[in-house]
Amino acid sequence: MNQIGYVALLVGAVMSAYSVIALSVGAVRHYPELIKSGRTAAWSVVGLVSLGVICVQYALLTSDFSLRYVVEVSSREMEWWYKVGAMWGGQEGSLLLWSLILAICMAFLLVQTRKMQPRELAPWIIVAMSSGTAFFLVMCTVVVNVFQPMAIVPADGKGLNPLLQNPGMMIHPPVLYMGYVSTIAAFGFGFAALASGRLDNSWVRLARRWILVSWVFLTLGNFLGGQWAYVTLGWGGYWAWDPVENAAIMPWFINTALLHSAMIQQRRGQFKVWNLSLAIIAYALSLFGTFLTRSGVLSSVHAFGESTLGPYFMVWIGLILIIGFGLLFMRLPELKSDNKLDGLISRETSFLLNNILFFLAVIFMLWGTLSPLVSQITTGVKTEVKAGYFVQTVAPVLMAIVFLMGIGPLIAWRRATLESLSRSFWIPASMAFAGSAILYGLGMRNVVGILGFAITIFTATTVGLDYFKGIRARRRHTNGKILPAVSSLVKRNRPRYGGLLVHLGIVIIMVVILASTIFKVSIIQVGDTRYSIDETRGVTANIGETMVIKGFHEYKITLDRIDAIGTPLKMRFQAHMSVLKDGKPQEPLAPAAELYTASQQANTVVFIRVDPLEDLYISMPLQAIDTRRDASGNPILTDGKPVITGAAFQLWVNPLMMWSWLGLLVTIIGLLIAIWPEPAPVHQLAAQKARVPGKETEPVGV
Amino acid sequence: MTPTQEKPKQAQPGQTGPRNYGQHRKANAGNRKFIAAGAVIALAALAIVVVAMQGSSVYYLTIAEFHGKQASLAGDKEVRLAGKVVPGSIARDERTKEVSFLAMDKVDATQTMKVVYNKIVPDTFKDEAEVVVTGTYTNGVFSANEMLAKCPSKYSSTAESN
Repeated sequence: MNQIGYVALLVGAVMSAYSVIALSVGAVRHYPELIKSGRTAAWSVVGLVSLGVICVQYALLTSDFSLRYVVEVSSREMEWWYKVGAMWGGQEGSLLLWSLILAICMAFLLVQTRKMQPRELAPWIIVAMSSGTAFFLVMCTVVVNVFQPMAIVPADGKGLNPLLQNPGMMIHPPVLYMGYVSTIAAFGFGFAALASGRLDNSWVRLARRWILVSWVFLTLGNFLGGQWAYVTLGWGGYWAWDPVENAAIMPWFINTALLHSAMIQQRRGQFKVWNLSLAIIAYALSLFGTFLTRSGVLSSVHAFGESTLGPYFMVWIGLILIIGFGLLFMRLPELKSDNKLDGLISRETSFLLNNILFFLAVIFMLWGTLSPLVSQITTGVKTEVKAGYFVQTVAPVLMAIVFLMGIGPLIAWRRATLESLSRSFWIPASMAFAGSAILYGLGMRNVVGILGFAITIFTATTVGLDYFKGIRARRRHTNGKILPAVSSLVKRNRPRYGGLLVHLGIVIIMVVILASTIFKVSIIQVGDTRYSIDETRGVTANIGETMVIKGFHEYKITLDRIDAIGTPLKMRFQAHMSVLKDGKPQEPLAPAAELYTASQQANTVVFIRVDPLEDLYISMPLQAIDTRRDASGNPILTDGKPVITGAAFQLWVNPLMMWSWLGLLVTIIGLLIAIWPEPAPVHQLAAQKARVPGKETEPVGV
Repeated sequence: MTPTQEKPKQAQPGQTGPRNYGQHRKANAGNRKFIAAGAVIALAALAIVVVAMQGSSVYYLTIAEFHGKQASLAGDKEVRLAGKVVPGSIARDERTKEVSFLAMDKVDATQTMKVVYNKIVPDTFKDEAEVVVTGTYTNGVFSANEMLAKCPSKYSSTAESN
């Protein structure tokens, strides 16, 4: 079975390479037969990769410890779903997951390009995809080998790192990889346009759905990653500006920029060079993120062990950039805009500004992430930036983007006047002003915070007003009924009203980010002493002692006891804490700490009490559990167990966290509205058939 | 130290088009507005980066490198040190709850550094874990206030393969 899998992946790599060559030659020389054979080869890659994955899964599920990879990431007593997930728990297997998702995307693209017009783009899209599978399959078979056998077969494996044995492991990596991989599809369309010379707007139109797919998965991937960190890591936050986290958000920024500027190209024939550049950069950044976790060049909690993969990735990213931008440079004369930018205040410039801002965010983050490498090359000494750098640079850009989200959709195309702007904006502006006055009145003195909330109020109001005006107008046609008015409004311009909902969802998430950053409570009182969690080793409480933390509600938390529960697998320390919320008793809190016997790996089991207003977040690190000791410091055992006298706790109150899910939900609903396929009326289908190639006439609402 | 060099160029995508002669002056005036706006953005971006860099950039050194430069780095200056936890060296003061350990250079195990950490260690911190600590060096002890720990590399295992 393992031999079959290994051979399948190797043959898959060869077939990918063949498909690249056959399709390229076939497309350049116009040999339909060769193109056909290249496509067949690409289909075979889909099958071969799937076969390889099935073999790895079989080995994992049957605990076949004759494979080194299975020994490293799996063990007999693991739940079956973690055995499945263990496939991407290590270096080799995660490369295989990349290949698998790439193959799945390729299958969709093979179907999409079967009858696609314009014809000349089709083979090049598959070239981009199968060059990707060729690279990744070589990486996970030749450079590192997922099917490497063990000389001596051990009785059991080492097991997946306990930190990864979490539902997040089953969802977050595949979703994020899907986001990464689908950027290749968008790149593929751009590359196809450049390679074939079909430089009109058709590639953008065809790539749109893939850009959106990529956007959804990158959004979900980053959101779920933050969520996973929040519920497991125990430091009370969800984003630490770690290089790998930055690498996951950068493609999202570029992809969001592309999503917007592609609309300009579809509608006005502008930003052609820019869109192609963004498609290339998004792919390069996705590869860069994958590279960062594997190369060992930067220090990150998320990184795999150092490996030999780094240089290969660097060469591959270099090749993509050189080929992409090289072709772009050669085609520059053919990429003239159909229109010019007219006024300084217009929808087009607001999109341009949107792009500049996203691009700036990426430049800032790249600079911070790469500064150790840059400084080492230029000065010989490695210098890193601390998390504060990212907050100071990226946060203002994000706030500017949220502000622009409010303005952009209301500005007219081509040229708008300041008077028309002030007419549209006096209501949102006064709402924002009123909101900040209320916050000030409530005692908020944080200038950045007030400004931030004012901006979110402004943007949320513009979205609300837009819907309100539209619905009011529609109601005249629906006899005053509201729901039919909403549905008919949305149906008339799905991209616009779906997009506005996405904006609203993002604003909701921004509010949560702001609130949980600015109003996070970390002051705890024990007896008469006040501690700040962020500056201490946690707050020590002995059995029977009470800690007080005061957010919107006041929580009095008493440590009742800590039980030590030993199993062959792990030692679990389970805390029982009674809690009074504003004086009323609540369900007890139950944070825990575990120590895995075999690996001596600690695992903090965070406890979060979710409430609409605020989360009560509590963790009890293994390191700081106190046991009764004798004079020389050795633990005194009673009935063979240590006697626990207390522990140090980390607790925070995080406001509004729960609402981030609402933000995500609104975002996804908005996106679904925007991309849901229109049932094409008959006359439109006919028009599509009759359409002259190169003349994009389909209206694109924004 | 200027990360934003390439920006002004990027900020003007695809706005040139075929112009005819009569529009030339008007187009120029329009372009000037865009160039001015672009320049303002570029300058603001540059200023943001410079300010942010000043407050938050720290030296990143291995323990061997640190010992080589010790004289110039002792005192208040914050540094980041990369090393590995010496097995069996992790100790915890029962009274102050401070964690201390010996960190060794990843390449040269004879180069070590006593590190005291004043916060809660991450779960991944244990013997042989790779650590990156941020803090200051005084009187032969490195006092850290930030720690990043990575599990011992999976590939250093004793299990042999062929």
